Amino acid sequence: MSNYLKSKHDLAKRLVNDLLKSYPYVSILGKQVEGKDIVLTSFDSRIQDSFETQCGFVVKVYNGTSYSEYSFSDFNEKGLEELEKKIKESVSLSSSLMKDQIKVPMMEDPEMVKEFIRKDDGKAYSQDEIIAKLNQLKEKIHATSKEVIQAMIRFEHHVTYSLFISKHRDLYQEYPWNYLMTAAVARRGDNTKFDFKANGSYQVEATLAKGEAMAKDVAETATMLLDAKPIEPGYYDIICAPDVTGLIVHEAFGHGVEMDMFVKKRARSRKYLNKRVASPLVEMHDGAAAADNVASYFFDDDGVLAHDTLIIKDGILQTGISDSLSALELSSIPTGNSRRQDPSRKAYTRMTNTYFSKGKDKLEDMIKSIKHGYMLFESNNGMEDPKNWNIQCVAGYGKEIVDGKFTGKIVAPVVMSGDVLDLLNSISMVSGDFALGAGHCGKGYKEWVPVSDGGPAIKAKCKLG
Amino acid sequence: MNMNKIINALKKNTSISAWKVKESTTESVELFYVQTQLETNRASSTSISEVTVYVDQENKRGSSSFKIYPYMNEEEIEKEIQENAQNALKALNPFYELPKVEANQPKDTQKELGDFKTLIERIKVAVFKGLEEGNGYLAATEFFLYKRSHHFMNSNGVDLQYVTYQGQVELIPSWDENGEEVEIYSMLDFSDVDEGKITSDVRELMKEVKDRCLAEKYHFSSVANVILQDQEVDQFLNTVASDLSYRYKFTHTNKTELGESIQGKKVTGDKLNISLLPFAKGASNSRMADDDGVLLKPTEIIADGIAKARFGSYQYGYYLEVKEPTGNLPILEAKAGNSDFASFKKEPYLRCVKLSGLQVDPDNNYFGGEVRLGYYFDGEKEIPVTGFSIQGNFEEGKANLRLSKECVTLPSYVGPKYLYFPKMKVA
Repeated sequence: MSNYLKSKHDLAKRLVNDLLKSYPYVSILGKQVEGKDIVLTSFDSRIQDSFETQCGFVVKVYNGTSYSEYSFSDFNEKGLEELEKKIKESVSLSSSLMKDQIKVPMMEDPEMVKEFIRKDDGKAYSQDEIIAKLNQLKEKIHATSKEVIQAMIRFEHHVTYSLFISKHRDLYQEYPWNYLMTAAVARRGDNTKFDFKANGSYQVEATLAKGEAMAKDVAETATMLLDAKPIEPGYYDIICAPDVTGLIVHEAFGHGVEMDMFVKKRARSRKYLNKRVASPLVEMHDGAAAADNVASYFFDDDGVLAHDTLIIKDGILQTGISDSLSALELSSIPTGNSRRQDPSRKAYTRMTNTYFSKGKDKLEDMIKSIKHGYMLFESNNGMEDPKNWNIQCVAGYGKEIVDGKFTGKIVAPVVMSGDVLDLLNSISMVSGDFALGAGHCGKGYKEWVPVSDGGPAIKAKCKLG
Repeated sequence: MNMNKIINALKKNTSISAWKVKESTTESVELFYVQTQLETNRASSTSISEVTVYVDQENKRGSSSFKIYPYMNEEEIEKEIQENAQNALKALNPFYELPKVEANQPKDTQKELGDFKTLIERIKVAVFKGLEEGNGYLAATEFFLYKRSHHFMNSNGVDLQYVTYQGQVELIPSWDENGEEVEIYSMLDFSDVDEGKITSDVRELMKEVKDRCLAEKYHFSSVANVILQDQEVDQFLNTVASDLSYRYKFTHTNKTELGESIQGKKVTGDKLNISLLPFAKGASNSRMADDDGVLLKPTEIIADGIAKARFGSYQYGYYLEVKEPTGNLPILEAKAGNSDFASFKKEPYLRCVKLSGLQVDPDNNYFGGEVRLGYYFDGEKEIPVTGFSIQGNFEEGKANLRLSKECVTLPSYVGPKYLYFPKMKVA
C-alpha cells in the first residue's frame, strides 16, 4: 500500500465525517501515481518522472441539489479545520448560480470495504538491466536498416494507488503498468519518414519481451515508407489491422456512447438504443474489467467497481457507458467509467479498454476476397464527432491489394472519412485475431487518460484520401 | 511550500553538479453547465515542484527530472535527490551549461484578473448573452479561470518569479432544425477578460453552427482555392517554423539551412516573416521565462522567406554553439500579408472554418483533413458546405500561400487570420 495514502486514510475518514455534518453526501478520492520514463535516442537520453505521476485529493459534496468539488495537494491534522472551512467557502454558490443548478438525486453509497492489489508477478528487472535492454533495442533498429538516421526507445513504468472514502465505502487499489515504445526515422535524400510501435503490460518482463520484434519492425516500416505514395482519393474495400480497428472502435463510435454525451444531447447514439448500428458480425465491449490492459483499474474515480459493458451485440446497440453523475441524471446504473486526468480535474464518462470481439474469418481469406483495395496499418490519430457521426481517422499507411494479393505498393498517410454507420454496417468479415494497443485519449482536446483499444482485423468499405 | 527545503537539500548533495527547480501553485474556479443549467462547480488549490538534477562525468552531463510534492519532508526530499542523482549517470549526454543569471530580470507583466468567483459569473453571463432566439443552444459549456504562480531557481543563480492568468471557455454550440441536429466544438482562451468580445465570439459561433446545420453537401469542383483560418493557420505556420528548431538540426532531421528559403526554391505566394515572442497581448501562453529559466526575448527566425535563426531549448542551442540560445518561446508572430480578405474574392474559394483536425505532415509532404463546416464562394456569395476533405502538398502549400491583412490573436499565435492556398484537392 502507498505509505503516503495509508498515512492519510484515517484523516480522510475524519474529513468526510466532519463534512457530512454539512452535506448529505461526501466522498474523497486520493490518488498517487509513481513511476519513471526512460528515453534513449541515437543523439541523447533522459530520465524523468512518468507523464502519469501525480499526487493529490478531490472532495465531492452534494448540497441537496447538485454536486461540487474541491481539489488540493495535501492535508494534515493541524490544518484540517482550516481545510474544511476552505472547502465550504470554495464550493459555495452565489444566489444566481444556485438558481442555475440542475436538480439531481444523491449518489448511492453501498456498504463496501475492499482492497485490490495487482502486482507485477513476472521476473524483476533492475533499472540498469532495463537500460541495457533499451540500448540493445536502439542498436537493433540501426542494424536493421542503413537508412535509419535516428532510433528512439522509450520505457515508461508506473504504479497507480488510489483511496476512495465516503460514508459507507472504504476502497483502496494499486496496480502497475509498463509501456515500451520503439521509433525510427529513416531518410533518403530529402525524403524523411517516421514510424513507431508501442506495447504494454502490467509485467516488465512481458513488456520487454516484445522489444526485439518491435525494433526490427519499426526500422523496416520506416524504411518501407520512404517508397510510400499518396493515395488516390476514393471509396475502397479495406481491411483494418487490429490497431486501426481500435481507432474506429474508439474514435468513430466509442465517444458517441459515453453517456455524459447523452445528458448533454450530444450523442446521436441515444436514438439508436436497441437498434442496428453495425453489421450483425459486430460485438463491442468497454470496461476496466473487460480486458487486462492499461485501463484495467478495480474501481473508478467515483468509487464504482469496474465493469465489462457489452455495448453492441449482433450489430444492435445495447447500452452506453457512464460516470456516476451522468447515470444519476439519466436514472441509469453507473458502469465504472468515471475518470479524471488527475485529482485536480473533473471526472467525466471515459472509455477504458474498448474493442470489437474477434470473429471467425481468416485474414488470408479476407485479403483474397478483395478485388482492389487496401489493408490499413497503424493508428495515427482520430477525432470524435458523436453528434454527427462523421469519421475522421488517420492510419499510418496502407498496402494495396489487387485481385486478392498485395502488390507491394505502399500509400501514406491514409485519411478515412465518411459516415460511421455506413462504415460499421459495411463490415463483412471479422478475423479470429485479437490485439489491444494502449495510448492516451482526450475529451474534446483536453482531459488525457490512458486507454486501450483494438480488436480483430475487419473488412469494410470506406472513403480514403 | 517546499522551495527552501529543496534548495537546502540540493546544496547539501555533493554528487550533483547543477540543478534547477520550478515551484508552481495553481488556483482555479470552474463551472460546468449542461445547456443553461449548472451541473457541477469546482475549485482547486494545488502545488508542485519540478526538479532536475545534473551530474557531470568527464565531458558528459546526465540529468534526471522528478516531482516533489508538498507532503514530502526533508528526509524524503533528500532521498529523491540522491536517487535521481544516480539516475542521471545513466542518461549521459554531451556536456551543456545551464542558463546564467542576467543583470536585469523583469518583473511579471500580466495584469491581475480580480476576484475569480465574481469574474467567472460575469464570463458566464457574457457567454449566454451571445445566444439569440432560434433553434440554437449550447449543449455544454465549461468555464475555467486559472492563476498560476511560478518560482524558478537554478544553480547558476537564476531566480525568477512570475504569475500567469488564463481564462478558458469550452463550449459546444448546437443547432436543431428540420430534423437535423449538429454541433461544433470551440474553446475560447484568453489572458484578459473582454466580456464584449466573448459575447461576439459566441454569436459568431452560433452563426457557424446554424450554417453547419443548413449546409449543403459539398458538390463543387474537386480542385479549389482553399482558405484556412485561425488555429489551422497557427498550426500550419508552426509546422513550417519547427524545421528551424535546434533539436531538428542537432538530430540531422531538419530540411532548411540558415540563409536558405524555408518556402522552397520557387516562391510564388507571399514570403513569410516570422518571429517568436515571450509575450503578446491577449495570448494566454505568454510567459517571461521557459522551463530552463531562460529569460525569453523576441527572436526573428524567418525574414522574407529566408531562414534567419534557429530556436529552441538551451541544451540543444549549446550543442550548436549558439552564443545566446533563445529558450522555448511560446508565441509565434507572423507578419500580416498585403491582401485583405476581400481580395481573395477575385476567384471562387473554399473557406474551411471547422475541421475535425488539420493534419500537417512534412514527412509525407501532406496537409489536409476532414472539414465539418466550410463556405464555398461561387464568385458572388458564400454558401455553407459540409461533408468533404481537403488534401494538399505541403511543399507546394508553403511556396504558394498568401497571407491575409486581417490578424488574429490566439493563445500561442499572433498574425494573419487567413491563409490562402491555390488549387487544393477536395473530395
